[in-house]
Amino acid sequence: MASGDVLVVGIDHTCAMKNVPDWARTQGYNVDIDEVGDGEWEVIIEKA
Amino acid sequence: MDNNMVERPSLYDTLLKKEWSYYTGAVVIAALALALNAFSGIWGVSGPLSIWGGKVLTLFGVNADAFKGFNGSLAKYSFWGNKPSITDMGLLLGAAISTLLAAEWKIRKLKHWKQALSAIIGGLLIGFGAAIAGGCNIGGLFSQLPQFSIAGWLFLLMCFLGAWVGGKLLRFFMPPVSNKRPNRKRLTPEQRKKNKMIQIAVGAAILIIALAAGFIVSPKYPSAPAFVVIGLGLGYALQRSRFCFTAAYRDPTLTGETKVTRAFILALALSTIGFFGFHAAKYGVDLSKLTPENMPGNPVHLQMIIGSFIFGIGAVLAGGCASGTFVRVGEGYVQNVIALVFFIVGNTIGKIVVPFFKGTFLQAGGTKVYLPTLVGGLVPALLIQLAVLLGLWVLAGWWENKKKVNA
Repeated sequence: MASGDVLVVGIDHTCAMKNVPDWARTQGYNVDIDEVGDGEWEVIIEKA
Repeated sequence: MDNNMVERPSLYDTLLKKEWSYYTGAVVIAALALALNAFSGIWGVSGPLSIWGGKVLTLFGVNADAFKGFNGSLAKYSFWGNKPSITDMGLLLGAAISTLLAAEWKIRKLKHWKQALSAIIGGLLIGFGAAIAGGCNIGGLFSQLPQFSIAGWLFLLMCFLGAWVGGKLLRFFMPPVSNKRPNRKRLTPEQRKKNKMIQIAVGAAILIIALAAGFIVSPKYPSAPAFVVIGLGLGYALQRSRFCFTAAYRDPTLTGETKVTRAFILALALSTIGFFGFHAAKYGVDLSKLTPENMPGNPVHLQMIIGSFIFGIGAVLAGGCASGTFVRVGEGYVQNVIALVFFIVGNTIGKIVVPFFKGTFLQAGGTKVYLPTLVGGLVPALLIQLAVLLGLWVLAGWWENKKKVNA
C-alpha cells in the first residue's frame, strides 16, 4: 500500500475493535472508527 | 480522521461505552478475585462443568455418580450451593450486561464452518486439559501462581508453550480472507437510538433480576449475593477492558503484541501482594502455622504439566480460555457457545478418566511445592516472585518493541 491509501477493516469482535485501532495508531497511521450497526464497526486506516 | 475529531464523548459514552484500558481491567479483576478469596477461597471456573456434564449423562439414564471421578457429588450438587457455578453464570451475565449497556450486543454468527471445527477441537482440549491439570487457567494459574505455588508457574510456562503451538495450528482453521467490502446494512439514527434504548433496558433488567435472584436465595445460601455481585463484576470488567487471558499468552508469539500480557503480569503481581497478606495471616510470616495438610496449591506431576500444555493449545483454538469462553458467550458469539458445549464434554471425559491415572507415572511424585518453603519464608518468596514478574514485564515490553522494529 502507498502513503495515503485507505484500508477498511470490517469488525464484529469487541477485542479486535480495541487492538486493531491500537495497532494501527502505534504504526503511526490515521484511524477512524465508524459504528455501522449494533456491535459492528468499520475501522478506516489511512497509511501515513 | 483522528486529528480532526474534536467531538467530546457524552457521559453515557464515558461511563458505559468506552472500553477500559487493559491495566484498569487488570486492577479490577485482581481486586475482585482477591475479594472472592477473602470471602470463601480462590476463584475457579472449570470446576462445575464436569458436574453439568455428569448431570446430562444422568438425564440419559447413565448412573454417572457411580463413576469414581464423581463419587456421589452429582446428587449433592445444587447451583446456589456451588460458588463457581454462580460466578461462572456471573461472568456470562456480567459480560452480557456490559455489552448491552454499551448497545453493542448482537448474535455474532459463524463466518465459516472452520470456526465451528476449531471451537469443537479447542473446547474438547480446554475441557480435558483443565480436568487433568487440576484446574483451568483461572484455578490452575491465575489463582494458583499468586499463592506462591510452583504448579501455577509451571501452568503458566506450559500454557504459554501450548498457546504457541495453538497459534501455529490456528492457520488451518482460518476462514478464507475476502477483499470485498461487504454490503453492511447501515441503521438510520432513529433505528440506532431505538435499538440502543432496547439494549440498555434489557441490560438493566438482567442486572436487576440477577441481583434479586441472589438476594431471594440468601436465607438458604447466605453467600449467594456476594458471589453474584463478584461474578457479575468480573464478567463486566473482563468485557469492558477486553482483558483476555488467552491473548496474554497467545499474542507474544502470534502477533508480537504484549499489551495484554503486561496487564496480565500486573494482575498476577497485585494478586501476589494480596495472597502474601492472606498467607501471612493464616500461616504466620515465619510459616510456623504451615503444615503439609494446610499447604496451599496444586500438586506438581506430569499429568498437571501435560494438562496445562493441552489447555494452552485448546484456548487458542476455542477462541477463549475458561473465563473468556463464558464472557464471549455473554457477548453473543456462536463460536464460543459451541466451544462451551465441548468444554463441558471434554471436562466430563477428563473427570471420568483421571481416577485411572492414580498410581501411574502420570501422577508419580506428585507433591505440592510452596515457594516460601524453598526460599526461607514468605518475605523472600514475595520479593523473588515480584522480581521475576517485573523481569517478565520488562521482557514483554522489550519483545513488543523488537517485533515492531523487525515488522
